Amino acid sequence: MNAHAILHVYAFELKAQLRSFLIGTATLLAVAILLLAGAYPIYRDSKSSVEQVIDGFPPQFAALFGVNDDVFSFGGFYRFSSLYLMLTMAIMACAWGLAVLGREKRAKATDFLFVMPMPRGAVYAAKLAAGLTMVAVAGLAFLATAAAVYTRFRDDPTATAIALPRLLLAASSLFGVGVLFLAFGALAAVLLRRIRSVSGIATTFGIFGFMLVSLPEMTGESKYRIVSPFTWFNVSEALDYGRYEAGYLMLAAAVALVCLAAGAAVYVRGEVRAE
Amino acid sequence: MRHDASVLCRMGEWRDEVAGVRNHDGGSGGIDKDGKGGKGVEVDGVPAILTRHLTKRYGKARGIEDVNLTVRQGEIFGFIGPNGAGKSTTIRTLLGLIRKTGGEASILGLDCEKDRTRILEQVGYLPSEVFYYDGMRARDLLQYAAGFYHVDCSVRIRELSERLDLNLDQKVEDMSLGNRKKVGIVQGLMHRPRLIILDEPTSGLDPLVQRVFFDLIREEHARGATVLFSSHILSEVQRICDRVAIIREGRIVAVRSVAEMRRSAVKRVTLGIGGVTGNGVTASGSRTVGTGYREHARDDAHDAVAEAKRALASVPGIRSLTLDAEAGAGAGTDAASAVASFLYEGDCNELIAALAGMTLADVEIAEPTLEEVFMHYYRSGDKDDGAGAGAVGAVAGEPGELSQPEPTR
Repeated sequence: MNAHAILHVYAFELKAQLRSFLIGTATLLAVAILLLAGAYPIYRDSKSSVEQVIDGFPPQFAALFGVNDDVFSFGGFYRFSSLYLMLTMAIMACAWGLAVLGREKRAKATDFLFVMPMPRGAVYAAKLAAGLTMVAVAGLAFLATAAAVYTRFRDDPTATAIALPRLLLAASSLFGVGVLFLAFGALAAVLLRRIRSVSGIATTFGIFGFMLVSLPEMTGESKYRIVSPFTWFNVSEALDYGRYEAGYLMLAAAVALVCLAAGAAVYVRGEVRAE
Repeated sequence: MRHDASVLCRMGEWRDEVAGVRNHDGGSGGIDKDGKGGKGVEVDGVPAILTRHLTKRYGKARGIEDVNLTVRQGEIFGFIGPNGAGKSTTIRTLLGLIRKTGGEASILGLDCEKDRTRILEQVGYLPSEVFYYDGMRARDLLQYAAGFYHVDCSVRIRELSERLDLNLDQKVEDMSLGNRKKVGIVQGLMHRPRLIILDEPTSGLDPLVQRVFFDLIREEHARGATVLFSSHILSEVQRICDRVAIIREGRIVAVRSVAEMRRSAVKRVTLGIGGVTGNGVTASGSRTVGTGYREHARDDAHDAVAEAKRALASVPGIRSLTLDAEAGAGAGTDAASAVASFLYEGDCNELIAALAGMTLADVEIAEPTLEEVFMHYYRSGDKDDGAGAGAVGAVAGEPGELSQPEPTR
């Protein structure tokens, strides 16, 4: 009985979110293509002049933007790019979490949904499933794009030095970032009394995650990675050794689960204020 | 199996509760055992809504306190009180939108918190303010809502929207308040619920649509549905309800049948007092105005008023007395008069006997409007004062200014 209702809400959310999903995914793919297929060859081919520019940067400034000497190889450039790809995915996923779970709050339609004969837990599950579906589909589209771009660089030894599965493993970091920031967005949607701007809140979350990356890099203290979600998915490790650090992966999973569980608890038990 | 047994067991409890409530209520008619539309064997005789000491507090702020309500299956039950009295809070607690602080609440024999989903399948709800998702046409929205129920609502959606003259292809966000409310009505009725909860349903509807709406509710009622009709407009409650609960500052002040409220002993009495003698009232019956007046009272209208006030004060059952002294054509000489207006609840013979001692220029005994009855229950503090100072001029008083509640009858 609930399965039918869950599917009903799931389908509704996907349909309602379709536009924003397509825009977000297109943005992600555009960023990927621009960076990997567009910017990388330019960097690689004008190595000396770029090096001059980088030498002029203060080291902290360069670290802030993820720039280092490594950007002239495909792997190095991917690692540099992944920061921006993660940022895009984080903003997108956070926005989806906010939009899907805060839809009723924004439209003041919570009364409407919560007097439907469906347990609130099931509503939450259906909405979450819709959010996860979007993250999964966007992630798969990104993997496909990364693979397609990779095939363009068959003549580039720094690219062929990395096996495709390793590249795909590194690209899979976006799934992790997506799920994590979807959970942040969902929790924020449930906790915030009013959601004024989905994109504003999502961008804040994304930028915050982006800035925190430079914290361990600038200080050189890896202990700060624990508060820097993007660094939990270590792209270098995936590219170089074909693996992620289990401890950080578990940390990411735990944080996502705690956020989603807390969100569910509040969603199910929370009071619906009269508007 | 186990489930059926528990339902049966619960049924017994509810029956007892109903009987208790009937006595407690002071008997506003017997219980319609089956309800007018008591269909389905498992809930036969179970109240549509039953609350016991239902309480909801918002921190220190008041919500509702100790609300006891029994709405029988098949009746149209009015729920009246001014804004902020706790009508919506009660309804939202019943629907599980907010959590009760204490007490018990059940709908059709099912617990409002534990069996929420099963209850909601059988309930249609029209909130006081209707909000929907932006960017959706009414048709899509109603289809989305219909998908939650296990019945095909499409025919009913079409039927209802035609009756209400609702354009289903318009986007909800572009709709006027009244049209949004129409969507709410369709949504509340489309799945043929057994219990219909309406929270201030007519706000925003023009009189023509209101008429259609009332017809629809009557049809639903005839079909067997129970209706809880919350409103602060008494005339519409009067128009449609069988019984009424009056809520004030979070507490139920009275539960009465509408007919009883209107036709009970409470009468609106208006007297044109053409000079009153103290003796005339309290001792020797009627006398001519001039002589007695000049002998026993000072020569002005206010004395006549004071006398009348005193005389009426001695009559039990008089409430909400207002006295307006008015000087006649020959003010200051022999023509002093006053208009007294009050609600009277009690034996009409006693009233007539008391009035017999006065010299009256005019008398009018009428059915009070429900507004007056409402104020009569709603106001408090003047119950024992009779025509005392506390009651004078209080009819038009603001509810917010009134003092302690009367105990629930």
